[in-house]
Amino acid sequence: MEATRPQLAVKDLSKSFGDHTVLSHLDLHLDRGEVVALIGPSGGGKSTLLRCLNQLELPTSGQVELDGQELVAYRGGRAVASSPKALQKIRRQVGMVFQQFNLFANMTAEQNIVFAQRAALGTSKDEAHARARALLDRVGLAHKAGSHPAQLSGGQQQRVAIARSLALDPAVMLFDEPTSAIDPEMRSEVLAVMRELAEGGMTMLVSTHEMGFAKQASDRTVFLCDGGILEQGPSRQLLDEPQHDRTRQFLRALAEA
Amino acid sequence: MDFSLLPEAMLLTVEITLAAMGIGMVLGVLVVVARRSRFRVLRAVAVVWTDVVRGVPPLVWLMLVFLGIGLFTALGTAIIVFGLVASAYCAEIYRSGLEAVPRGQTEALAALAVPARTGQLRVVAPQAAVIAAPAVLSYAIGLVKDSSLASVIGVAELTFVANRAANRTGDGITPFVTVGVLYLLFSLLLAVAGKLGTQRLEGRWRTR
Ligand SMILES: Nc1ncnc2c1ncn2[C@@H]1O[C@H](COP(=O)(O)OP(=O)(O)O)[C@@H](O)[C@H]1O
Ligand SMILES: [Mg+2]
Repeated sequence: MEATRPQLAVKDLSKSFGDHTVLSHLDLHLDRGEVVALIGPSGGGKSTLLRCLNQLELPTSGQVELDGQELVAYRGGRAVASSPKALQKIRRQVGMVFQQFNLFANMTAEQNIVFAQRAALGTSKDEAHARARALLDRVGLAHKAGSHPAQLSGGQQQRVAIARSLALDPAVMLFDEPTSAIDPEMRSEVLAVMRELAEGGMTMLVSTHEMGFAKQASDRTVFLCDGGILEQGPSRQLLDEPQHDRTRQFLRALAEA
Repeated sequence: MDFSLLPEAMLLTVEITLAAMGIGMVLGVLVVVARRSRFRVLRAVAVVWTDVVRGVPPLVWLMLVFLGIGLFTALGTAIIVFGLVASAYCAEIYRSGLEAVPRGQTEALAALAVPARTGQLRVVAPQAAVIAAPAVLSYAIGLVKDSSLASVIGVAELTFVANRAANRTGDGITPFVTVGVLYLLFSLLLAVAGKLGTQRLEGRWRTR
């Protein structure tokens, strides 16, 4: 049945770097429109998990399915890089927002968004500009269209990065600690954009240390540690009454920090 | 000394420097592309090229090409040799420029489904060029001085003319001070022009 098929499914996914196992037999499903917060200690594999979903990393074993389509190709038991064409198709559907924003430093905010559309989708110039301006307006940065990244605050850069990613009209958005590199006073402007996106029905997987965001804007929270999901559940429930000592410890340490 | 010879000698020094630099900067792009190619053979060729060319003194290359191969005029030999040597150095300068572009931007290009070549051309290369520009410029200024080696194979550039004048007149001060000043002026001119060019290239954005 259409309705019951998850938008994104991670199946028995493992990832090692050399003999260092980072993710071990991990399963995770996201329904269409679901917002999932990924929490856990640093070095616990949150970034690695997200990066396996758009193939910035290749898993060691396991599968990722997008709308029922298997994304990871195997040859002789080893995951192999998808063809450039297949890879492009995956990455057009899976947007990613990085901790360090990673805007193109030689382009203005608007050019960043225009370039991405034209290079990835072959959008016409007029259409790309129109869409870029609409998206900048949506993230509250219409007045910064002509600014270069170096002239923008962290919060502004991250909002441009979100707009740039949205410009490809992805089906799923991945966020890797989107506010960790931003001054605390500037975080709310980014979180507000993300919350709006969540309310608009975007399927989102968000690695974060923002418990406020997790509680208010995410449907489900997943606690990742030691290469696996220790527990998961409705965000409010998991964050208010965690079942495991390890989760409690983590949340207490975060609250004290 | 006969000062009337200086304009032509100066012109030769400028010609060797600029022509070799032009060759080096263009050929350097090819070498660095080979160096970063996905084909192992191309990468190996590029490594051997940069290491061998830089590992042998330019004077030895000049003699080898002029006396050993003997296909080119003295001036042609100087331009070719200095151009090829510059290609190896420029390639290395470009390479470190490319490596200095923040890796996150390359990842963003990939995550945004931008074809690799487009991303390299439109995002990575322009930033690498700005990072590399000062090193390319200082190589060019070094080349102004290295071009004096061409006097050994008989190119009548500044050092050659000064040397001949000194031998004829017995006065070693006037000719060498004169050409020394000319080298200095040319270097300074290049430095200023290069600085302006770099600033233009950089425009309003900065990579760090
Ligand atoms: N490219 C890599 N090579 C080797 N080890 C890596 C690499 N990327 C991540 N790791 C290791 O994987 C572990 C998980 O890292 P990461 O996914 O970044 O965790 P998190 O995002 O939860 O902080 C860490 O121990 C890290 O050192
Ligand atoms: Mg991380």
